[in-house]
Amino acid sequence: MLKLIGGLIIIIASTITGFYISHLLYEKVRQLRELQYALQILESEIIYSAEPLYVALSNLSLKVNEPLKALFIDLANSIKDFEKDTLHDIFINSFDRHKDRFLLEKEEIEVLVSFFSSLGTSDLEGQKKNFNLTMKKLDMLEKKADDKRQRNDKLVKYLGFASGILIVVILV
Amino acid sequence: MILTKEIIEIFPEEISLVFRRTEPNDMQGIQEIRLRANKPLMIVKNNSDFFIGINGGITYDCNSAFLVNIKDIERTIQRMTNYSLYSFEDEFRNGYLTLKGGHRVGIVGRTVLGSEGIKTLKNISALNVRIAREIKGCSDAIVKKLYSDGIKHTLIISPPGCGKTTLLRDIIRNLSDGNKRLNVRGYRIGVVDERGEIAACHQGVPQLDVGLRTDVLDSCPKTLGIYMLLRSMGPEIIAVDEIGGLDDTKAIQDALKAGVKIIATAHAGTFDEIKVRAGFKEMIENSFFDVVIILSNKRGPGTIEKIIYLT
Repeated sequence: MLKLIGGLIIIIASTITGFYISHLLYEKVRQLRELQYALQILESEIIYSAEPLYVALSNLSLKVNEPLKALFIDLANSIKDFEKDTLHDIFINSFDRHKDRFLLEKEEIEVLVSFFSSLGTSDLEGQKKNFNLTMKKLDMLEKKADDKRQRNDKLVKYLGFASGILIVVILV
Repeated sequence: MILTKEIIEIFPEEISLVFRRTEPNDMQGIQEIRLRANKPLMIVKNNSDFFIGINGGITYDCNSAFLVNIKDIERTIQRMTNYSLYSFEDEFRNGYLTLKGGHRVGIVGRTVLGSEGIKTLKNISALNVRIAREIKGCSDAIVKKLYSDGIKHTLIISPPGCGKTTLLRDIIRNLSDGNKRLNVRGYRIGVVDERGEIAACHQGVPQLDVGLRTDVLDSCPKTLGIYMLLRSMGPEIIAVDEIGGLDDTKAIQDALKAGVKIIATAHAGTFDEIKVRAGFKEMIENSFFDVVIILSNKRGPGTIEKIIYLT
């Protein structure tokens, strides 16, 4: 009886792990999508109403979900407080404080860093290019992440369940 | 004038550090801070210039002065513009921007030309931060003397740096607030602040005290602005800085017909000089102005040299 309960717990745990990993894959795609959505709003705030960045970011923070919301609020405050000399440094500092909540990898973070460093230094025309380029890059990264999710989603879930069974079989 | 937090904040860490290490007393009377690429950090106070040392403090020796590099200037610009260079395009085109607190920053660099004149400035090589001076009460005597029995069309003239704009701003403040002691009531005043020096607007909001009943049209050309104010804001007095040109004359003429009083300033050394300048000649011959105030630097900026009544 005890063995049965133990085995069941192992199988349930490994299945949950599988589902959790699949959720993370999905969450990453969601974050990338939301990031693109946020950039679109930011673009209109910046290009059409030429709002100062901290105003644009705090407006934006009202329209997005966590963890982006927290990041944008933090960024807006750091900009207002002149935390560092360049926007590049401010972004890196701010992102560092929130990076645990993001599922982004190095490649995706680099896109954001380069986006923010040119955000502070170029005129409107430069901004348009900056937005276009970043959108394209993010779109590509999102497709890649979505692809990975679709390919691995079922696999991860099965694998979770199967590895649970395997462990139970070996133990019994 | 001393350095306030809002001024120090616009400088990158290295520069704000040397300012913080400098005795506040040494900064007394500061008028300008000048940053030039690969040149010593310089301040102007009491009309003469000094270098700022590597470890703070004032020095006369340029070898021990803090050297400004191009990166410092770039960083200052990022901070000055709130890291939003794109929202300051017009300001860059005009070559200056106004900070919170009304301080003015002049910018030079390489100009980029477009189809309609200067498109923007690139490769900024020097900055001049002019600390705003607001001397409240400097117009009390004049306001009492001239305006206690009603507003007169007034022209203030002086060479540059004698306190024309400072005096004009204080006259505006006094007349707008109204002052029982000076025997003036509060008037509705429209200010066309073409160069943003009277009210020093930062994002549209006046940073210097221009009174309760004052409406400011920021960075608007004088000729257009006078008509706009006449149509929309119903002013009793219109104040403008640095008139010249025939266009201005015509706009002022129209304002006079609308029953509005004008208070204006102009660059000129003496009354004789202005009498022969195109534009002013007609205005003075036709007695546009009731009164001309002439300022000089004799006993410090804002010395009232002469008051001439034309009517």
